[in-house]
Amino acid sequence: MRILGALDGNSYSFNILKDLALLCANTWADTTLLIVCNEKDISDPEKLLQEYAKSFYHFIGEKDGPYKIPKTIKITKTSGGELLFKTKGIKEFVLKLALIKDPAKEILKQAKELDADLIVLGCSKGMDCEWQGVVGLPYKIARDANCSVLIIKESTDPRQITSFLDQSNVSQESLELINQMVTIHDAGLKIVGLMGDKGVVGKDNVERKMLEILAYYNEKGMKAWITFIEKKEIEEYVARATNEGMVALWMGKKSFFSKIFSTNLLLKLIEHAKSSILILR
Amino acid sequence: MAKALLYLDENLASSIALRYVDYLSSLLYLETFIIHVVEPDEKEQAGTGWVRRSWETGILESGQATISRLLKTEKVKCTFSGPPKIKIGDREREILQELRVGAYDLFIEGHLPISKSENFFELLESDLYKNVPCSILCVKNLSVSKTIGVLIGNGVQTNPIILTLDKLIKNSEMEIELIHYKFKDVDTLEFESNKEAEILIEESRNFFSQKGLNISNAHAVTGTPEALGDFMINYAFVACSFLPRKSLISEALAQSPNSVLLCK
Repeated sequence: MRILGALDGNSYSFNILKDLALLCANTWADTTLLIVCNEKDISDPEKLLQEYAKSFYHFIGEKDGPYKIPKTIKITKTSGGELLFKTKGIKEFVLKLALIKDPAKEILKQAKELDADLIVLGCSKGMDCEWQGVVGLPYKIARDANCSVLIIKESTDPRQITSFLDQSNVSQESLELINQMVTIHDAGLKIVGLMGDKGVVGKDNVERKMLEILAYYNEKGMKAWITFIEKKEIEEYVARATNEGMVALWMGKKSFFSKIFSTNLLLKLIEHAKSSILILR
Repeated sequence: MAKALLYLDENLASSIALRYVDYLSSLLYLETFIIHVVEPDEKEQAGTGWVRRSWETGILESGQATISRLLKTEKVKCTFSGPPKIKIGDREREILQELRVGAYDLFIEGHLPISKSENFFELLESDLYKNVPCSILCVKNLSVSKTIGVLIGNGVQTNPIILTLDKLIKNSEMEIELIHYKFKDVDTLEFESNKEAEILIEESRNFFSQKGLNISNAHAVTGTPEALGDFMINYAFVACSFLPRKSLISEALAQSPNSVLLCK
């Protein structure tokens, strides 16, 4: 697995570092932390990079893990003007800082180049969801990325993770991501299916998949349960779930959620969420 | 040991119920029989004599195959008493008939948890649930826990719960926690005791211990039925006396994704 953490110089980015570091270490992911900043917003880029590196190592701890922990953090400058710090243990850890004007474009470009499985980013509280002064950047990333996206709006400890499922096309990586989020926060997991007039909504035996997922998490000793909601109450239910904890949406091509969350609802969901949103692809 | 009748069909609710019974069988002394009812369309029911008998044989074989498929798919480890009982006819009538004739202690079936409470109330008000002569375990999820939550107060009768749990869990590893609930319009459940709760908890403790059922913990909680429903998710199941009408307690049971033991 490869995780791309998108960061800037604001407090919401620092606040997600604990979750991000634990997620990277627990999934043994090749990790790239990309700090994208406007030149005018940052006085000492090298210091910022040092702080992120130190915090990352602080949160993963000194126990045996996938990353090599260096004695000193030596930063180099690439020919393109980026600041770079890199280590290779069992897994790779890359930290780089780029001074650019269009952060969304850069994050999506890097995710594509790295073939990332997950992009993690924080954003400001409230409905603006600002990132580097750009309103709606997290939504843009969630909408346009080809991989899963985790948006941490506030560093909270969700008691419950509500995951919505309406398809059987669920990757092992996405199951593992949910597993890690539940473990990190010691949360309960609610797997929500859709109920229509003719029974459970979804293609390719989604009922079977729900049971498999439920059994998979139960066998891992996690508190997981399934529940169903009616199609017409989905908006209200999702809004309530974002108040209670993290919301995870499986949004594959075949997904009904993908259809209804493809436009305004995804934006609304990110705007109104009080904690975190995980878009699984 | 409790004699139980498990209703199975080829759907998600039954798959969950089957797996849950498999889990419970590792903790409790259950003698479980399986029942499946095939309800043919009126148009399908044809003929008399050998024509009728051949048609019935075909239907029974198909029902048998359904249950065999389910058992094979779910790969359960527990053993069942006797071959599955395959019946033809009205589901409610056939189940009630079997429960009366077989003198069962417990009827078990799966029920998918739906956020709309009406769905659960319809079940409580159904002829089947009202007329079942024993306690009912309504399985909604695979709750892995060794603790049972027992609701007290709010019109819940303790005696049927004690009688059912006596048969079901006595000398097992399972523990009992008492929950006294009072409504309060607040967002999160609050743990606050009051005189009424203390008295009821103490009384219930005594009733349970007289039957050799020890209470490991007791909670006096206040909040909305939704909050109580969420609180109960950590239990293997929640036991309550059978409440055929809408109430705060049945609302909480409807809201909870947990399995419910309705004691009669």
